[in-house]
Amino acid sequence: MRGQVLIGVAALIFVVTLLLLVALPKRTIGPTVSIENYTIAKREVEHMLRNAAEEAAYAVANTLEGMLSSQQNLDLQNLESSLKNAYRQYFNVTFTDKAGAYAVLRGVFCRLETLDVEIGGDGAYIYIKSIYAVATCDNGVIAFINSAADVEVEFKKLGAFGGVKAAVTLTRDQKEIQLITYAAALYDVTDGKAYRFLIMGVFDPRESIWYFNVSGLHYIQLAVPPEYCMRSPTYYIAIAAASVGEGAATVVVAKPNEKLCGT
Amino acid sequence: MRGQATLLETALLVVATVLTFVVAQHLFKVQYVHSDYALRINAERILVHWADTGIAYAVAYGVAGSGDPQYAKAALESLLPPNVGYNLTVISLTKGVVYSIARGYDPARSDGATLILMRGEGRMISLRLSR
Repeated sequence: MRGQVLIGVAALIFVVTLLLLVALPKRTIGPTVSIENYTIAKREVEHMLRNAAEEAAYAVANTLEGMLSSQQNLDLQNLESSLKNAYRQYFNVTFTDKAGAYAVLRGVFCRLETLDVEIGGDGAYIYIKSIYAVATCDNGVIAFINSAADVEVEFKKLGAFGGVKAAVTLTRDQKEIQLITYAAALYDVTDGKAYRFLIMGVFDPRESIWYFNVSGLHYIQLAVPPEYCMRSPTYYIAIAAASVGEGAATVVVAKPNEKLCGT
Repeated sequence: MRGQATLLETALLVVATVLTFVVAQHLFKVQYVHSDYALRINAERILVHWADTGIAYAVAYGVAGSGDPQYAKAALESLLPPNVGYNLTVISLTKGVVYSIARGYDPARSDGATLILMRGEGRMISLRLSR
């Protein structure tokens, strides 16, 4: 009888120890790890959206020749919808490309659920004013970006050169962005064909110009060479500005109304 | 007869106790040696913090595009106490390892996390910590 009790006690200790060892670590630490894993996954998708937003701006600015070669787009008002559609298209392509690479690495496929782009402007220029995008993934992760741009463009006569001064403020979730990258080019439209002349940097995030300002207000100042500024403007100034990993970006297309130098 | 039964009971008791210890040790090995949740959580939190503050981009890309190991070293060593070892590896998704830095790292007692950034051709930041 005594022996049976002992064996019973030993068996009970064995079973309880097993249950505790298997159950306790998972119950106490498991959920915390799940939270961290989810946070990492959410950040990765969010940053994928941010990078797509930034790279799409450079891609659009890089391919404005096509848009400006169309006669109806020579009027800035008509260019608005083309700019919006081009940006949406490039965002979609860039994001899908990244989502494909991400799916290979993590085994999770993400798709672009919503993409809202607004265009702003003031007669002589238009720009991408706001970007709102939502992505959803197979693992339940939902991420979004919400960014905006505020742009003021001013044309100046600088003697032999023409001057363009763009005051650019990029914001993400109402927070002004201090570090941006930008590039600018002049698109000259002759006989229905647009030709590009690079002014500052290259429309590629890796070869653009870095600009940090504590206030978040960035003055992008460009010089228009004499061969262009001395004649009645048939050219457009394109500026692409984007944050670094914040998901804020804009493309500005400006057209002066009069000669920027000479008489 | 009585003596034999006692002997059998004692033997069974010894077997049960030894088995308990063996299984317990095996489970502890699985849970705490091969996978250290505390270190994994710390690594994940550091990477999330880096992603939120933009440090991840400086670490993975730098200004020139090939990462900034000096900055990564400073960023890590300002967070981790000297008794925690680390191994940070930045991998380009197309070109392989960009750079790797380490301090007092013991792979046998380590755990970590990875963060993927898809700017340009993409980067994977692998951070492993060890006690």
